[in-house]
Amino acid sequence: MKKMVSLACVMALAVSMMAGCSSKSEETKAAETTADTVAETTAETAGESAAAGDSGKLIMATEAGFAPYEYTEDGETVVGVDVDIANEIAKAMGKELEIQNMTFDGALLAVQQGVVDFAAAGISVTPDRQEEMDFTIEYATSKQVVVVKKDAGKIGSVDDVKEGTVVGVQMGTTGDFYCTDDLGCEVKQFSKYAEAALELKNDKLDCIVMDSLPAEQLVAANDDLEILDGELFTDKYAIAVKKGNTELLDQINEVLQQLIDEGKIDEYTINHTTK
Amino acid sequence: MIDVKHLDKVFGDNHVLKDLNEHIEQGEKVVIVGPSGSGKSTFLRCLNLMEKPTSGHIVFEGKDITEAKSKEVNQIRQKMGMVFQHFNLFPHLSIKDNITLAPVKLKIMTKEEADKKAMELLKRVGLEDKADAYPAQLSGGQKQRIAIVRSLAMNPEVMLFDEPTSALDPEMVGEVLDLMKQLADDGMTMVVVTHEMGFAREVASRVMFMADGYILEQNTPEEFFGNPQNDRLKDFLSKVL
Amino acid sequence: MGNWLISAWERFEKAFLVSDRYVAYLNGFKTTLIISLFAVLLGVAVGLILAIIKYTANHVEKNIILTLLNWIANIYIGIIRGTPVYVQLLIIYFIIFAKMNTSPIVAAVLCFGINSSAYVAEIIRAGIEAVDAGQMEAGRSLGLGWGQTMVSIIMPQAIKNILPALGNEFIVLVKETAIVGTIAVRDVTKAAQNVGAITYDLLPPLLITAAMYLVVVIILTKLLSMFERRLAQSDRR
Repeated sequence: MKKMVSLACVMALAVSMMAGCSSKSEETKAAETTADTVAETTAETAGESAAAGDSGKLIMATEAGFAPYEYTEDGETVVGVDVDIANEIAKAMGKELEIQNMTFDGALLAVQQGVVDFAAAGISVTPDRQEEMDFTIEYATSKQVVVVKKDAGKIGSVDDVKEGTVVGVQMGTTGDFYCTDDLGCEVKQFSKYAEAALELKNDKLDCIVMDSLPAEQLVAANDDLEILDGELFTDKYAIAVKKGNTELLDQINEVLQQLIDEGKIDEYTINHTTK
Repeated sequence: MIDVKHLDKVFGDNHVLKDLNEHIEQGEKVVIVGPSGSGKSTFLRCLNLMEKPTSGHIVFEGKDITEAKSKEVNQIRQKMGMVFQHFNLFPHLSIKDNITLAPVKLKIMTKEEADKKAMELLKRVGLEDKADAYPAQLSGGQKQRIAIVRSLAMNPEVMLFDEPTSALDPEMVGEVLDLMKQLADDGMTMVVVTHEMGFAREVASRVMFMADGYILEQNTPEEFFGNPQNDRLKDFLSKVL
Repeated sequence: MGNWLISAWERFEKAFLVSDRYVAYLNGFKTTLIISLFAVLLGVAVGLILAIIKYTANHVEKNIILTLLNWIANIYIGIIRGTPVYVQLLIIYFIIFAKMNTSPIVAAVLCFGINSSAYVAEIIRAGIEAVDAGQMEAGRSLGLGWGQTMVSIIMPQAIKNILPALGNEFIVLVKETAIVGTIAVRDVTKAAQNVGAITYDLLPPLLITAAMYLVVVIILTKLLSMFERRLAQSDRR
């Protein structure tokens, strides 16, 4: 009996030792020396950013299924245009960036609730969203395009997307709302565009409505899908922070403006698009 | 030593013990017999408050213990040993530890003293080679003898036996009854619920017949078995003897 | 046939080997195991308290405090068992811990620990009840107190009943935790989703992940039954 208990304890110890050896773990990297000094200077200007103020970490929410803005190459590290921007923001603030990769609508909820400091996930600015969160200046423009299966014949042009069309979208995106509310389509919501792509290939969808750059990545990986000419509508992206967090907002805007002026955003976009 | 006054016990709708009055002297060997459901076990279990009387009083060594608080009850039980039909040895402990657990935990003896006492008792019943064995390795008769020894280790003043041989294979009944006989000869006060009429005849100072919650007759063994008065008892004896 | 094999291999390569993606799965599985382990431990800690409350409420004389505690325990268990763990996860992460700087892994452990506790409470309570009533009688008849008898006599025997069921709970958790990706925990299922998102080929990563779960569950189940047999043996010694 005692032997069994000690065996169980040894196994538990072994597992936790394995945990300690895990090298790549952004979420568990401890905030170190810089954090303390930074924490003191930013503590007075705490405002709504309870999350950031204390620990010297800057937490970003995103959904890593949206190349070139956020995606993973190795299955765990999030990279992309939004990540490059976020790194610059963190550097400017002297904090360590922590990326939390969840669902898109989860990311919006997280920033609203203050679970994270900001959300950078190719988020389009809309009046509805502006009621729930504060947006930075816009840093990218995105066309919303229509992706179809080649030779499927159902949707010939952007204008064919109308009431009753079976459209795949990512949950909580402007494409989702536009198709549901404005067009009255039969909308199927997915967590990841890759899932929608599979459905489209299986003829369960007439089309997908999504942003153009990720759409290009999508059709590049799927020979049997194509993007129709033209656009459904246009979006502008901004980074979202919790409502009222003007201090963080100003800091991010400063960095964004600089990056835009220096042409860095375009540079990042090119980096993450050419393979 | 033990006084029972107007003892009543009700289980739900079942009136199991009806206004019992009894007196058990030191050194007595009271054997209780009767049909199933007569309340014999319940009566026995009321003596050490394993069952709480619905009404009435149990007086032990001059003190009314019916409403005793649990701490007091624990202390009283140290003086009253109980042996169960199904032995109830502790399967996760060795035989020696079974015997020494209570004395040591209750700080009556040190571990060394308890070990010594346990070995003495085991020797007395010829089971000292089983000291480090586990209950699962013993036969029924051995287990019950160990159970008796376990109670004896607490130096009780009275031993209560609840059908101690009813769950034993016939060939093992004898070894247990022999041990009980020895205890009786050594002067232990005993209250025994049993179906073993031979034991009652040989060992009892008094045999008590219970049925339907009443004590219908009690007498010395000779009178009880030789000259039963109560009709129910006569009927019972005709069936079991 | 040959073409199919080649393309299947290529798909597997993309899902597992390119860019060292297999590391993501392995790290993810480590996280899965860690969350499951700590959730079980938390579940046992809280479940034990609940089990003791429920057991004593049924076996000891009534008193106000115990009745109240039992009532609270039942409500807690009722709510936890009556709501989906996915919803509990969302509530814990997005609402309860919104203002605090909680790491998602901690939130996940808390969520599954709390969820587990409601089931572990029953496992422990049942394990205690399964010990023969005669054991308590024997202990009490020797003069041992209720608490002493529980600790020295009942619990050691109850543990033999409880441990296998706990081991099973751990195995169940390993599978249940697959949803923690929603709150940004990088477990193995999340790794599969990440890879699928970049390859646009969902099947291979999901199959790989399913296979990993399957292998681990089979191994753990085997270990558990070996353990159970050892326990049973010690009873027959």
